[in-house]
Amino acid sequence: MLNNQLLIHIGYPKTASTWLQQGIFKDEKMGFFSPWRGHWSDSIAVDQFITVNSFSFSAENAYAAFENGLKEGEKKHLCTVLSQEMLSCNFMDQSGYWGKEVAQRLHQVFPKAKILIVIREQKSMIFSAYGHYIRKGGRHSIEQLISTKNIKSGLYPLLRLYCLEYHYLINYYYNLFGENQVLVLPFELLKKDKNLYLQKICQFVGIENQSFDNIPSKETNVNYKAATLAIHRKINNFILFQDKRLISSSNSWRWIIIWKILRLLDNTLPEELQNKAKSQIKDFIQEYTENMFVESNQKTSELININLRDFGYDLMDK
Amino acid sequence: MSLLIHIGYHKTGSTFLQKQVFNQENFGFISPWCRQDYYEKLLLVNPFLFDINKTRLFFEEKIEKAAKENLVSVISEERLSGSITSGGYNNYDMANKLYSLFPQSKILIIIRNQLDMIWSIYKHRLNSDLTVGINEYLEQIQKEFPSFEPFFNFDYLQYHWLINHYQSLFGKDQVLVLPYEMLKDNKVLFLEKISNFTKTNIDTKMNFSQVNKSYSYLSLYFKRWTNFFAPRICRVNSSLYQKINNSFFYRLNQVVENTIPEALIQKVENHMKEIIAEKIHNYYIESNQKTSNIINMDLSLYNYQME
Repeated sequence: MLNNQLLIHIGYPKTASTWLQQGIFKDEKMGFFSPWRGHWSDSIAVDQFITVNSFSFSAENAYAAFENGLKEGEKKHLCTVLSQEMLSCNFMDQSGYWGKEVAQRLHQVFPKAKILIVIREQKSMIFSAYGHYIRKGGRHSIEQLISTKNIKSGLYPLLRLYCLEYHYLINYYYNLFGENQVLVLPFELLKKDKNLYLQKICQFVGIENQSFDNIPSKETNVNYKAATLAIHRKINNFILFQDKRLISSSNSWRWIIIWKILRLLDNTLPEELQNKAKSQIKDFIQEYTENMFVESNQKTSELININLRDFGYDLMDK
Repeated sequence: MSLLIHIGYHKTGSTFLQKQVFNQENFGFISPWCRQDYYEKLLLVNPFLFDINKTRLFFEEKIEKAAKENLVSVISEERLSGSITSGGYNNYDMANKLYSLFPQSKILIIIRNQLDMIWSIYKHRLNSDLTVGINEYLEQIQKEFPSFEPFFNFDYLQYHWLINHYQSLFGKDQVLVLPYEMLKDNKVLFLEKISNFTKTNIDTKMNFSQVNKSYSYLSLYFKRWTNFFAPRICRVNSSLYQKINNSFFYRLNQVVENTIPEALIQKVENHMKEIIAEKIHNYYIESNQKTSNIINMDLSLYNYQME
């Protein structure tokens, strides 16, 4: 199987995956090749590894779906990339946490692939995910989204925080693919030092002597500011949108208009108001998740040999 | 091991079984756990933290206690057959998980002809929070634009996959599959089969009360539009809006049933079922044929799509 030169980027969501997919992984001059790009991130990965019927999943059939792309990548002497951030999880979906199951499938199909996992400090991740959720039509407050208070028997909050205990998934990938085959980077490194971040990815897949100076660091999928989100949430309650799951930026003119108006508001509302709304959300997240991820972050730090405290992650006191 | 695991499917009389059969000690059953236990220990547990021994221990104590009293313990939760909103997601793994925990247990699976099933699920979803029409609800994923969730994934109701998997894990004799239609047409036979399978003594002649009577589509049609305004909160005390809305439609449904002629209600429902029939076309023929074969029952007698 031609998977020695395959890099699989599994997310997490909200870690600038779109920037990597659009700006880096499809750039052949950089040494990368993305043969499976669809409208959005590599949607073939969703079909083959996430929503595939478990009863009929076959590693051979799944491999066949990728074979041509892999051959093409080999012919071009490029690092072929399969990038889909949901391969790690969709922590906004109550139906299940598929990270483990998907890891097994990926390993069955591409046992020699290299794996890239990008993590993000959890409070910042939750804040970003909340913005994304509201942008897609969500109606819950941050409290309703993550808190277990008053949850009906047997149900869980929409955003399941245990998905953000990264050490479980990282450790699992280490065991399946081997420690040297898995690169874990904090999203904060990209913000701090884009060149070092990209250099680490390139080194990992054997691409050398690349210059990253001309690569734009423009972030994609930038969220609205907090006060704008609060208005968006109110609108979501009262405008007759179709059910959320059918909405995407490309197919709903109503959303496109609303988003344009909100963007305008985003730029005109007083910063003081935005900051006040932001600190309300952040304060709740801070309070609710206090010490929740300390142990996991400690384990993650040790697993990946990076001091995550340097990037603002909650860790045990020295 | 005296354990019966009833995995659903959804909309196949699960509430009736749970409320009127599986908690009746005089029939020989006991259900010592609650729904929250199933969700926390089995359904939504972090897969990396799932511990077979600890989980088994949690259930085993009560199973053994019941066995001493000659009772069959029952785990009954229709969500074990997969998530209704995500195409049955997780049902394969759940079967493996249940087998790893209780390899000696007996499994009860109740199926329903897909046309009625989809109609019932759609009405159930309207009664919750769904806002889309039947055509959109049944629209399947377009391959050029894959997505995580069609509203309803047809594959979920290809019963032979799940039945076959359970039979191969637990053994064919340990898995009882019954059509929901048998419960409607011949309750005595349906209950006798469960009784024989579990070696219990269900009083099949007893007068059981009706549970979960479904709403009329005429009421739900209007609820669909008010659902747009309903916040989706999975909480005990959800919004005032939801309470008022649900209460209003409960009463509206009573008015509809008491004033609108049954023939008209049926006409509308039949029209909707025609749309569903057109959508599913022959989708389930092959699966139903296989299901018929593996459960040794002619499902065409119950109007399942067959050759």
